[in-house]
Amino acid sequence: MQATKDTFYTTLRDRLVQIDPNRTITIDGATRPAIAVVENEPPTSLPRQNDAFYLEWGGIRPVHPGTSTLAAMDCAINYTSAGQSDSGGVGRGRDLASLDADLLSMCAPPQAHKYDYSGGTAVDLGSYIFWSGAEFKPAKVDAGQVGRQVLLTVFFYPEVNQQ
Amino acid sequence: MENPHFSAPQIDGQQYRAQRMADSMMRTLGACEVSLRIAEPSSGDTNSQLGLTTPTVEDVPLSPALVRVASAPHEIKTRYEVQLSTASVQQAVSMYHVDDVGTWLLTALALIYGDKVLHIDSVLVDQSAGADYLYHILASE
Repeated sequence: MQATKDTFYTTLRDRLVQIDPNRTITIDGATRPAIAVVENEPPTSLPRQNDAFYLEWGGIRPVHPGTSTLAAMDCAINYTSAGQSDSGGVGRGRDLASLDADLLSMCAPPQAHKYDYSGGTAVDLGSYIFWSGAEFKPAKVDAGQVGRQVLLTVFFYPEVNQQ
Repeated sequence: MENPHFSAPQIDGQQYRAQRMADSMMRTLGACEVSLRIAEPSSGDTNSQLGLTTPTVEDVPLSPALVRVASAPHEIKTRYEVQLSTASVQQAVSMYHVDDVGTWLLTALALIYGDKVLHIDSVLVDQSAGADYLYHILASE
């Protein structure tokens, strides 16, 4: 299932580069597309940044136990915006809408070729992953920031001899 | 533009008094050295984004340092408070081009004290006249 996690992340990251190449963040001195998997980052990374997507993986379960190996894995994507400091942050809602639009575009089409990245290079596994429509939770306002959580489910067939 | 009605009165060089006081306290009381374990900047490539690349680390010596045990009597794990003055970190700060020392200390991988590798729990920064003069690192085993 690690291949599913890695494929989903790299798919969204590559689509973000196409959709909004200027949406970047700097983590540990490296500038990269503004999307990160929380469990892949060093525990000592700086606090989460605004205007970036943070993926967190949840539970895994069989979809049709006993009849199929199809599995489902929950994914939560969190992001926040504080607006522009020179305008007193009044544009934070508009910035959040921009993030919403980017994420909607990144999630379509809801499928991707599955690759194994564990060897350092991408190896085509000859199968696909696919995912549900994004469920946008209500925006939350906290300490001058407005943020949202988006939930979706990623479906995959576990590979033989794959983690 | 700075509003003269609301700015705090500043005397040129006032911040150095607190720094000199902290430096002399460190030199008088702090006879030990600690090291800060920092990760090299990430390459930012796909392997590091996927958690496949182990970051290389470096131990940066910081001295003089004042170390005291800060555990409550009933606590199982030992907590330490490590105090550093601006002079203790000056060389490392200029070498690594650090802008925000408090954040740099807080985001380090670990603090090395003797043969102990301590987890950095929090960092407090004392300021006087707008300038840092003492750093308190709260760390635990």
